[in-house]
Amino acid sequence: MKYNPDNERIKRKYFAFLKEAKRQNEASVDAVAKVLNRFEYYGSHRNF
Amino acid sequence: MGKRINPNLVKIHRNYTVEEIASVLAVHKNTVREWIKKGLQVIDCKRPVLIHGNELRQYLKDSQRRRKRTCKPDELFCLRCKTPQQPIGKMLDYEPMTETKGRLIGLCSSCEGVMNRYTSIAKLDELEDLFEITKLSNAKHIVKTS
Repeated sequence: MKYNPDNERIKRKYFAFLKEAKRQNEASVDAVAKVLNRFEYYGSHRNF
Repeated sequence: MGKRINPNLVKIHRNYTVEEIASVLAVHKNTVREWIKKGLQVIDCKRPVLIHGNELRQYLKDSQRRRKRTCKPDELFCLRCKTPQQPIGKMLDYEPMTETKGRLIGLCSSCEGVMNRYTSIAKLDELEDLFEITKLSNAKHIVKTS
């Protein structure tokens, strides 16, 4: 699976924000992670 | 043999620091750093070191596959040597267990320990090309003779 290292670092901060500040459940964060991956895939893993 | 680790505990769309992997998989963080030295890919050269979940899962699966040893047709698994070995002189005994299946017993060519392999009678003909098989009788119990 391809990935963009810079995007991975941004996503990591965002997941921490969702979990800690927004108090989202782990499963909800997983869903967001999956959606973001699909978004990146269709944008051929360009920088955010 | 190391601890058995379930690769499916790692999420493929997430990325992990070394400490996070250590807590998810219940291993020491030095173990994870050892994996990195042995070839686990990190996402880039920045700090903190991040590892993509999919890469980690693939690495764990591959390393488990590498540890698996399958026997060739003319080999039996020796539990003492922990490797597939050929029996001494290609000689095996066949001890029937039921009507259809039984046990092949041979001696390991490197440690001379007893090796076993389960097989069906149907496959015995094919195996006779590879080994010299002696069929033992089923009567292992004490039989009354008068």
